[in-house]
Amino acid sequence: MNNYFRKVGFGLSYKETIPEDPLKWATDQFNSLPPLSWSEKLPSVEDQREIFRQYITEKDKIQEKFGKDAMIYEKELNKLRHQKGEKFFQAFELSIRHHNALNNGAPAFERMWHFWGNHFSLSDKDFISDWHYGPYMREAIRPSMDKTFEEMVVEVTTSWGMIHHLDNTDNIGPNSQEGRRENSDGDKRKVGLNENHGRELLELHTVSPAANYTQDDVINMAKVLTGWAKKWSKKNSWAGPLIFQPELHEMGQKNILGKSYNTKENKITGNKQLFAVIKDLCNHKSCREFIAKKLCQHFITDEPSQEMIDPIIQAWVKSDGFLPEIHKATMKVAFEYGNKHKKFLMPEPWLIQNAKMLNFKHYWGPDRYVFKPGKIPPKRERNIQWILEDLGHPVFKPSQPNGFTDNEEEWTSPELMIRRMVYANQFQTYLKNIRRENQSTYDDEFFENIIYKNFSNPENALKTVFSANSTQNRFVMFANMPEVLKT
Amino acid sequence: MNCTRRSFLQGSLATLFVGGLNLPLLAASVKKNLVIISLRGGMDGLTAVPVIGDPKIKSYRSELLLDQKLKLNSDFGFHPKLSTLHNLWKKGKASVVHATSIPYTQRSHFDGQNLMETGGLVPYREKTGWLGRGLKLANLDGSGLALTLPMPLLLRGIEQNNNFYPAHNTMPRIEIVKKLRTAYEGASEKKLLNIIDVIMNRPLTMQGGDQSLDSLSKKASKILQDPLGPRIAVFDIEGFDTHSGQGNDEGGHADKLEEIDMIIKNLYEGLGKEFDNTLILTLTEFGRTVEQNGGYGTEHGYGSAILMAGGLLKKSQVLTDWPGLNKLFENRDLQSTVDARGIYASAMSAVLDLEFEQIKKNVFWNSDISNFSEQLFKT
Repeated sequence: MNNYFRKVGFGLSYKETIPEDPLKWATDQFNSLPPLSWSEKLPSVEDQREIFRQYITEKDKIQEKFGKDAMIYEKELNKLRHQKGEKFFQAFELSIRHHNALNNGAPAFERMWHFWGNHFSLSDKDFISDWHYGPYMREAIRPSMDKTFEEMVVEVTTSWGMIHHLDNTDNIGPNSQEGRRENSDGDKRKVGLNENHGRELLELHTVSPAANYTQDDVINMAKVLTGWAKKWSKKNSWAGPLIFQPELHEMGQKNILGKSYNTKENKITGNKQLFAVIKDLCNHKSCREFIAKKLCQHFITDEPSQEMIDPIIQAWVKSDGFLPEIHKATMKVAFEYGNKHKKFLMPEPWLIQNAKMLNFKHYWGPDRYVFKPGKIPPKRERNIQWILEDLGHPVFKPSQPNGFTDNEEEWTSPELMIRRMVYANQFQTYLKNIRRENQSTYDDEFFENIIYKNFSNPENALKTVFSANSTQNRFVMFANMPEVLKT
Repeated sequence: MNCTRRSFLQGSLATLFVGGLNLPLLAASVKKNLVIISLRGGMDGLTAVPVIGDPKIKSYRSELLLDQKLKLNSDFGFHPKLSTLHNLWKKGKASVVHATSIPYTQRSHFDGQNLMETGGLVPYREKTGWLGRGLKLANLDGSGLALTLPMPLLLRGIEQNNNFYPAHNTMPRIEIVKKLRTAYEGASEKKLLNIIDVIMNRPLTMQGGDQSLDSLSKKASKILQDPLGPRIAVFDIEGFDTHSGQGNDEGGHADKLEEIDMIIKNLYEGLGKEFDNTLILTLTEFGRTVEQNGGYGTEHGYGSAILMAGGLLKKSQVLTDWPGLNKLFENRDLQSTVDARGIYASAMSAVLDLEFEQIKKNVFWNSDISNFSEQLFKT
């Protein structure tokens, strides 16, 4: 039973008491949007787009001026990077994320937030991981967690980050106003469809390949998405704001998964077309099944049974895809099946859990981050970024748009296990980030306290930890024992 | 085109005949290496190995055409960034299979990469990789090495695989690692136990270096030279998914091809005479559309090319049953006329000293794949 606090959250710290009703403790966290633990003004998508705009326009100037001399060019470019905080923002955003996970009192909600941020991944492209992922998580994902899945998909699909990283700005209807003009003006440049976003909207975000869509469906999806693009202007270059541009939108009827849009009977055109299609995709049977299974895989086991998946699907149907109900159903299923199934933890939740239970701080508090244009951030400020990268889980920098898998096989290689040992060996050094009065005394009582609180079978865990003597080595044993690697 | 369907078929027939004799292969006394480079995102075969002999290409992709080509024969060339591969070609140590793919036509990266590694026909059904199963069949436990952080699916299916991707900071003391081992043993965690054994037995060559492909490939050539060390190395290169800015001589795809060439260069220089006992082979999930799209890029396609290098190649050649550009697959992609799994199986047969038929049966579930061992490899 006590395992549950780690299964859906980050475990209990030595100061916390065990909630009387664990399931209620978890489901209550989804009654409303919990505020972020870090309440200072944080960068918005628009703030970061402006920085990106400045970066690419100034980079062009540097290229023009110094492009001939590689050494000077590289030097000037580096200066520009520090000027715009390219090496600052990712660590800062990760610090906010972990501070929040550990301090805002709603760890199950935070785990779910991380889940959706990964489901709707922005893969690494044009510094998205540095400037954009954090604000995207706050503006597109988080507020939608109090709405329907459909609303979340609309929010994400029309977000600047998603449109940018899946190339939808290049997706131009050949029969749109602009397409016809471009393709008939005699120069070589031809414009047309780009299927990237359309395909991933079907495959990764909603119905999955289980819906058996065809290449024609993908092309039609791309057509529906035409017009959703960054607005080009001389000032903005290719960092313009996201606006639906009717002049780029492909005319005519579109057919997707057996449904037709913009027919004689139903005139759904322009930007409304995408909303209508997303509605149908989110109401598709394959979409519910895909998401429900993925949730079970994340929290319970790599191979969930139909019995685990069904209650989540039922909650979805009953609430018309209302996410708080879907989240609560997931918490319940994890509660019911949690003791029988063990799930290997991905590196990030593993790290946060260790920080919570062992009471160390592997990051700077967000309060210590001050962005000073031009300043090279000190190493310890970026530590959190290196840790996640070395552990194989740079959460804001997935290499492909499907994000990180939570399949155990992906995380159990010798090198990845070495990394966990290597960093567990460092954990003790992260105590210096905690004020002395808040530090724990790492006596036997401390370990007994956290182990009885967080493990369903504490005896083995105690034996393992106490087989080492120093605090440093007890941390290594604790973090890498099977009871902590799996929940 | 000189490369006609007919000459290709003649080659296949000869192979079938030899395969049909079912001769037992002699166990080799030398250690042979297989290096796999997974090209993720979908490599454009027509950029890596441009077709010279088919003028129709010009009408499809005017902005993606190469100015410079490294000529291979009257029909094909290499992209200018593949200069090491071109040098090896001149030495008889580089080959290409063109218009080839795994038999998967749905154009999803993730399903495609899954099948490229499992060798199966239904995404996510198989949980092991074709190379892992091949190693198991050859009884080569512990000889797989991934130069990546996760263990690639390709190598799964055999215990004791190793991987190398160096990080900084220090390991806990060996006594502590042993204590962890005891804990895994007590909890009957077989998999964790296996991993910790691999970690405790890591050779000294697996130290130092960094995570760049340059450093990893130099390191790999040292590790592969160890007569008792791993004989399989797996690299990953991501970023072939050039929906925009694909470029031509320079650009998105060119940068990636340069990375392949660098790995091959480091292996060639680092392995020394062991290069003659080595085969390097690329994998990709699919090729790209023949026609360029609206963003100077290409979309997900079907047929692509396999690049090969090493002394285990019989000679330099472009093996292809060229489908031409007149009739495209679903009116958009280069056809695939060779099931790439036949090449994978033949390559394993050459390196692991297993009979093709045995691999076909035990690794590829008796799928209908062709044997190219005689045509492509020294046996």
